Amino acid sequence: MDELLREFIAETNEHLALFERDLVSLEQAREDARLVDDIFRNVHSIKGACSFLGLKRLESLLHAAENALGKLRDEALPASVIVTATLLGACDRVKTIVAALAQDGHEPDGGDADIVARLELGMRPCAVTAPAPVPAISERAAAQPTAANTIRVNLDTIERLMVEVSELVLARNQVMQTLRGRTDPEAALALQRWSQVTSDLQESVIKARMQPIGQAWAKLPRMVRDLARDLGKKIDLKLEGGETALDRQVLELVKDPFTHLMRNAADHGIETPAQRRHAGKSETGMVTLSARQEGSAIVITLTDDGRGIDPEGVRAAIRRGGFASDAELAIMSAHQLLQFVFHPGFTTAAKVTNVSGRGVGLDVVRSNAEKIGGTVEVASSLGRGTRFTIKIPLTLAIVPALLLECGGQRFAIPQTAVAELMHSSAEYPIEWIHGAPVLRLRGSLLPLVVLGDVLCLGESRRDEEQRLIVIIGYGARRFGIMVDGVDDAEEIVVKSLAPMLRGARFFAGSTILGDGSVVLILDPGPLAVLAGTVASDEPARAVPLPMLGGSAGGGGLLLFHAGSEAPKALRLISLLRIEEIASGQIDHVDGKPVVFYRDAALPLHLFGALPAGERQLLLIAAHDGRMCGFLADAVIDTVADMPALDRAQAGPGVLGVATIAGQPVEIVDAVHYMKAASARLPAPARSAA
Amino acid sequence: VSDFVAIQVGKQDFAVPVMQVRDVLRQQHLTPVPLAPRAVAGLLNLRGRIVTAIDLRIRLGLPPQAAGGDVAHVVVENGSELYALVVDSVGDVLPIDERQLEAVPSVLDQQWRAIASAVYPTGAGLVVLLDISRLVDLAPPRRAAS
Repeated sequence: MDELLREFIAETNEHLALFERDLVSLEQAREDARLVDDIFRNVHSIKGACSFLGLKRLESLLHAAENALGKLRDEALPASVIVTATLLGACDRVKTIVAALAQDGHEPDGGDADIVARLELGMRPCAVTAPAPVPAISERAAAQPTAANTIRVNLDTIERLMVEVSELVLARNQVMQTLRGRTDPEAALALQRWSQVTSDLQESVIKARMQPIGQAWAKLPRMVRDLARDLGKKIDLKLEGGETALDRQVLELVKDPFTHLMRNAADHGIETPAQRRHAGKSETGMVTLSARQEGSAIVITLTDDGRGIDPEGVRAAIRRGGFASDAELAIMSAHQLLQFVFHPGFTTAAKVTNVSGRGVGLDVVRSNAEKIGGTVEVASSLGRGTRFTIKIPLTLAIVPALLLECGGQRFAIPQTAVAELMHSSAEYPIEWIHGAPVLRLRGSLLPLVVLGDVLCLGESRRDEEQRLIVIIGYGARRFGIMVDGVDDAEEIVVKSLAPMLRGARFFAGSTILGDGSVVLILDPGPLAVLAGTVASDEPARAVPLPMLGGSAGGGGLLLFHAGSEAPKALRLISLLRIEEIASGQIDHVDGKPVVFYRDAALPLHLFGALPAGERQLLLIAAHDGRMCGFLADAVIDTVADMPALDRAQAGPGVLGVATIAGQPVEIVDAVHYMKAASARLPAPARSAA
Repeated sequence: VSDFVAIQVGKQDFAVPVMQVRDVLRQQHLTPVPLAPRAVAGLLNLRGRIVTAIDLRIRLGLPPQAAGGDVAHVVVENGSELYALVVDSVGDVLPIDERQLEAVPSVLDQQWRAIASAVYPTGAGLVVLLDISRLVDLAPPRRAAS
């Protein structure tokens, strides 16, 4: 294709996006002379280019549109909904023609008499029949490309620049590492200067690839307008922070997610005007899309003030889709339930509309975000609205990474995934449940992955007391990776693996470090799956332990009511977690109570009759690889230190009685119940992790 | 006539098209890739590009070389990827007359037939020509036990 034509198409598509956006705004602010001016100019410049290139069909179509706009501008008539709809129709036709032009290199056959006639007709004042609801688009996107001071550069050129500058950074790192402490001061100065320039250059090239996120939003106002019309809803779209710049490559990857989320909000989120009125809300629903930069990440939130996500609906959909067993469902928190909306094939829509509900969408949103080291979370309040938060890295070209050591080999992991580093210790010991390691941390249970075992690196040092644990935050999921050591942090350039290695599910790629060595980059996603975090330990699920941590870990007690008037206590050191379960999870084996917990039968001790009610409070104690559950009526508090114990009252299952706050408290001997239980229960199956 | 680079693995002579050869390296430090196909010897850094090393002995089903034995890396390009073939030694450039090429004998081991494109008879014996694209077409890595 002719270079001139190619350029025309690129330019026209930009103009059309603006044309469309302004028209939708115009529909809102009926009599904004400045807007009409803008639109007119836009159409005029496309028309000019068309006549220059001899594109007759486009030219006559745009001429008609220009005429119509001319009349509008001369305030011969107000911009009615019909007028803007007609103009949008013309815009659509122009787009179709331009698309064909891009494909075939010439205008498609056919005429536009229909549109031209409607444009002429539409400009004649006429009785307007009840206009469809119209979404308001506030804040005209800030990202107005200025004509001056910009040039059009081929993307390949920018990409090549980026690759080259990345290599330059690596070469610089290598030189610095080799020459460290070996050069004379003069050379060191020159080296430093060179290093600085390299960093600046890198930054500039990254900036050159940056585009305002608003560009990915350009189509949204029109989309929301059409959606609102199709669905008979009133929707206000508010765009904030459209000027936030991010890497072009990242932008491409998040374009589709925006569309999905927006459709979702319009179809599932916002109610019909009647429903909204009934719920005491304003008839017009509000959808806000906002972006802001937070360090090296971009945080994008999409908030609607619609009906919210009904946890019960989600529960039913999970059951329908067979995504989780009833037992799993019974112990899930609302937060955990919600995250299932990102599950492939998940839908709560009872009927499939042409807008959404086909069960594709949100899983794509999540996989797209995770592909680039980002995360997606959802929070919702029934009847008040839903908020999706997408967090994505600013750029993919150069990634800050942490270097880990395991089995004598180094691995890199993106810093964005690392939540914190810690050592296991007497205070935070690694505990094993049927061969699966876990760590008790700030009142919740963190599943651990032994990297050496996962990667079959041989020789694991599991018995050692002090193990380094890299805590990974992957979206709402948290888990720990046990490694042998942690090295420096380093900026790395991600290189893809050879095709034969792309199936290696734990690696996202490889990179060359400053010292010239090659290291593999760990992919937190598959490790999270391995840790089984999808269906387990998010903080929201565990009932938080008040004050746990600090010195409380060792001698502290958990006070609770169970069976009797007098409170009981369990030593915090043997308490693994507290969980709410459904009464249905409790069963009997050989006449003894057990609770079905994570695919295994956990021996249970009741301090009296089974409390009434559907939900039960389960205290899970673990010691030396054995576990036992206790049913409590209510948790009272924790105490930091073990008070003096009157052992005279000790007996089977009772360590003794202590006086706490003037009250006698029976201290439960958890180990006794575990021993008793393990004698009668076969070892439960090894858990998935 | 086209040129090939002669390589030796075990007692056998092989040859790869010189057009695909990018470099010949001495023993290199390799970064092992956990859970990769067995024939993948590791990754190495060649002037800022990452090269996947394939142990030709394992690829051919031969016993691994005795520890401490000398090896050479023949870096070849396939598609846009670079691979280093780990071989026992590298010989000279061998001009090969295509008209004298023989089909791969059907009695040859299946593993060898899969990556051999032809056999070239010389005065010193038979040379097996290797098809790089088939050589690097390895089964996906084995899965870790879950």
